[in-house]
Amino acid sequence: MTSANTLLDVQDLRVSFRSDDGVFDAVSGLNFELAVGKTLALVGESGCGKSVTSLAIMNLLPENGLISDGQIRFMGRNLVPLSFKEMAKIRGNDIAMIFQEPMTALNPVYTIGQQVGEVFKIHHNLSRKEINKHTQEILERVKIPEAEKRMREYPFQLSGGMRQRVLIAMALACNPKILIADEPTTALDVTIQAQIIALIKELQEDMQMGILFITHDLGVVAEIADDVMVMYGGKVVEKANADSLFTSPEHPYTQALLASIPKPGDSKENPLATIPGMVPSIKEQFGGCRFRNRCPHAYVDCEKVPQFKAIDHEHSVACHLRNSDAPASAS
Amino acid sequence: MLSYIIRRLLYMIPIIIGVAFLTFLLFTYFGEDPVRVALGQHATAAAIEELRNLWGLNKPLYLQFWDFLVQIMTFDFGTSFTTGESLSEIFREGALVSLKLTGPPFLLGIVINIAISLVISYWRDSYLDHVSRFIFIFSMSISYLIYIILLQYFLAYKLEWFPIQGYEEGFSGLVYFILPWFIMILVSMGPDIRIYRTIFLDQTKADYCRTAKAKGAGNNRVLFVHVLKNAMIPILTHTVVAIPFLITGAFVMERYFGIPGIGDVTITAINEGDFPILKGVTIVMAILYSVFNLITDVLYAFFDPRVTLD
Repeated sequence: MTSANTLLDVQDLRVSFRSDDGVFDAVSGLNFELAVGKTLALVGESGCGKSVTSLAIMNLLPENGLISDGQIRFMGRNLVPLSFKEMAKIRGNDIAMIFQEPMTALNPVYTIGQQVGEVFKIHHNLSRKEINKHTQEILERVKIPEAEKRMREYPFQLSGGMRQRVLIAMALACNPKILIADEPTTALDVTIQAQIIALIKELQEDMQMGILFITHDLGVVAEIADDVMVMYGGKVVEKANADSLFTSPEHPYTQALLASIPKPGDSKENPLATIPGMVPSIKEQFGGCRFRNRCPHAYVDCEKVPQFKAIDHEHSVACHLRNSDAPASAS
Repeated sequence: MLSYIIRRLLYMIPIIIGVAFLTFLLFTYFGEDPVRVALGQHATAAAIEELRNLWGLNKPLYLQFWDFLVQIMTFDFGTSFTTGESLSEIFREGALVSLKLTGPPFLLGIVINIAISLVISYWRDSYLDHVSRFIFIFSMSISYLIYIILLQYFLAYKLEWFPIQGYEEGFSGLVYFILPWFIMILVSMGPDIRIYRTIFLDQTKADYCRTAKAKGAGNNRVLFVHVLKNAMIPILTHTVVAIPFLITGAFVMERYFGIPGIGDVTITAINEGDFPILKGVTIVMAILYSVFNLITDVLYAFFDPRVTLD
């Protein structure tokens, strides 16, 4: 399946965490590809393993976490066996990342210029003058007004939206091939969200990077994604082209997520739909479909692990209801 | 910035007057009669009266207090009741001796303890971390006096590596300081390294460290460039407020090692009822403490851009 356009090819990824109660899988059996200039959205509730996936790709998992199985191929090279040090050459250079909390993700005691310039210092052997020049250029590119003045300011002097722009500038400084965006708009006002998404799309068009966009917000997904992967309890439950996913969601979880998007018609009499229950903890190990205790359509087959099946060439789903002998259709 | 410093210095005036008032009150109403202490039990009434006049103790209290305030303002605390020496001279000499005792282990201790705690935080949760935690908590649980007595006994008395105690001016006199310096650093290690380690680890978990790693920064860069500067803010408070105590000396150390610093002078003054010295030490301590608190706040603004002084 791997083509020349494939930047990232994740095969059978399993990420495990050690705790006092034993070892648990936060993510398992994860397969996906990311192509040049494309955006893949990773969607799911808190705790479904989407952030863990991004940290695994960056080799930045917390100390009690490790990649216990699978491969992460970046342009053909498997990143899993690389040491922290070897990976440091790729981080920020070929694969960059932006984070959810622009308020705390910047170092409070260094200026914007120093922090953005640090990327050039780490990856390129440049003089201070060149670093300053490049820093100003990249800050202008992410549309920070008065970039030269902002460079001398500290993070606390900037608004949340401006800080997220600084983080984007930092991520894009070395023209990365892949940008991992971990809920970059979640902490921002809606109007600022739209600006940041427009900016990311514009920069993607210029730089042709592949974006792995992690979010729980399906509204954002509709705006930015080419393809969508829906994760639940550490596994992908549905993978599809964005249009196909929004028009004909196959998995009951995806359907429930789409139904719980606030709509103008919602009122006290006709309230917003919710999904009953909670995401299972990774420590709760039960076989079969992990969504079955919250699923309105669950039946006896759901005790078995559902197979991931292609519906057509750009839509696949892991649900027993798609089997021919299922009792009723969910859609 | 300047106006802030001036304002803070002005705030110190009521604080110092308050401390002076309390000190004056304590020594006037609760202390022993210094004249009786000085002259002994068999002094004649005439001699007592003469000394009272000489020391100004027959003046009305508000005038005595005013004299005390004038002494503070001019930094001239009169003369010692027992030796007749000028107090300013006693303080100046004592402070220099005390600093010679406390300064080097203070500075060296900061460097050593920060270095060790950086190493421990770098390899946190390793064997090294666990063993050192045990050693430092154990060492913290032992009294200062035990260190002095044991090391004096074994290293100085038994092994004769150092003189047991004493004091001499000049470079050759430094030999008397080595053992006390060593003990002071040793005693500072447990508590300081525990605190610094906590500070470093708090910072290591901060989001900005993850961002730095995502940029491609290595562990060294994250620790020395990103964590260290942030950690300097709490470390600073911890160390700068200790400086006044360096000048006023280490009471116990000076006593045990026969080093005539301010601590030793103060203990002697307590034993001999030398009130001018005690009043002077109390006030000097209050002033130093206020000044170094101000210095800490100014340094905060230097290390933390979020802090503005106005």
